Amino acid sequence: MPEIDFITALGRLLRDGNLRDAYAAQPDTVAFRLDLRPDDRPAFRQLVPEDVEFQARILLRKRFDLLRRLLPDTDRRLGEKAWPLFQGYARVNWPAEPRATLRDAFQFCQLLRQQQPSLVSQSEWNRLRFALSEKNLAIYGQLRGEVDGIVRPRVQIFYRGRSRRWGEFSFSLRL
Amino acid sequence: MNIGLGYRRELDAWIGSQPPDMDCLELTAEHFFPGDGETLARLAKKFQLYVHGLGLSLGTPGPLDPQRLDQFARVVRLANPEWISDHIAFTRTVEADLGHLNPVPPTRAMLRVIADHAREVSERCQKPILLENITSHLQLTGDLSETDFLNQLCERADCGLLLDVTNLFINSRNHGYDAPQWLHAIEPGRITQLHIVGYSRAGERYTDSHSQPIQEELIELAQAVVRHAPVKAITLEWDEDFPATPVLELEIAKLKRIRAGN
Repeated sequence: MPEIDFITALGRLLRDGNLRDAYAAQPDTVAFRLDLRPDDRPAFRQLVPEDVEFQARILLRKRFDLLRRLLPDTDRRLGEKAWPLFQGYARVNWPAEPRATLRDAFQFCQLLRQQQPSLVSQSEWNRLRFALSEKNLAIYGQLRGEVDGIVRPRVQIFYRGRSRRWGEFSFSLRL
Repeated sequence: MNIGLGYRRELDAWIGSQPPDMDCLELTAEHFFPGDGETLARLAKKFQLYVHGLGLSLGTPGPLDPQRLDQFARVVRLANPEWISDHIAFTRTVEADLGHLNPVPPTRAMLRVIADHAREVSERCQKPILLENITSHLQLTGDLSETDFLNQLCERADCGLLLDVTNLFINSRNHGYDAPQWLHAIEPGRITQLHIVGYSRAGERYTDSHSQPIQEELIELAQAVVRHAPVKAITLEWDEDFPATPVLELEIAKLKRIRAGN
């Protein structure tokens, strides 16, 4: 495996909470394990673990803010638990490109659904599933779809055009 | 010296009213990546524009992301700004996009990386480029002091400095150094534009939430910069919890005080 530079090593620390814990306990061991270039090792070893953790939290907060825009209903359901739950998930999970934010939202919702499905808005979950798929058309029905606090049967229709951009049409049924 | 603010869609109505005393707007390039040439043309008719990047990741060793550079250059072409800018930072590594600005060590090797990237962006866009200091909660060490690093970087890249006064203040408080002393170690002729917004606090640390009115000590520091350097523009950088018009007008009045220098 080739040696890595300081920026790559710092990037790994910032996106991996377990690596930060290991670095806080044994910085020399982590520098050796990462196979850091010898010229970059002194600067790496001078990183203060608390400062690295603080910077990492700033990055997590940026990710969290992006997810909240994609998942407003889920965010509302989670309330004050949203940020600690996200931190628990995101500290050791970094989404891969492309469409990293969508993947991040999907993986976070997937985890929440395993714990308590009602925490995740079904409409938002459907939207994520379609956006990450290659499908041209999908129709999802919910018996208890919620819009603006009103619960009704709901249908979501997703479509994707030739440009690969997708759209959504949805309606609720008044029974 | 021009006075203005960072363009945000949330402030569009107020900006559209052409507030008196506002000469310029700084556009964040990434906010216009999907298109929106009409907005750019409309704004260019009313204000002097500058284009500011968040994600070129000038501090990442290796080639610049060609797609991002294309998108950035397209926005520059549409806006035709007086100058362009991005940060002395990295936002991605060869392995992942970190989504936000991270500090770089003040080393000669890093100086070459950023200077070469800055020259490439400037040549591609056919515009002068400014480089901006960031808030850093990490105090990185290298073979140069931060001020020597910045002076040599500006010389090698043949560029100006976008001095974020708030970031300078925050770093000086968090890392325990004297901001005016730091300022006087910077080559004044390089300081072309200032960013400013109020700082925030998170426990013992000072942070840049970009959502607070400018505090008095920041005004004093910015006035010291204006007395030290031939600054051409000051822009307010408000990004969250956007205030009502009277608060914005007060903030612009503070920029006028800074311009006056005393």
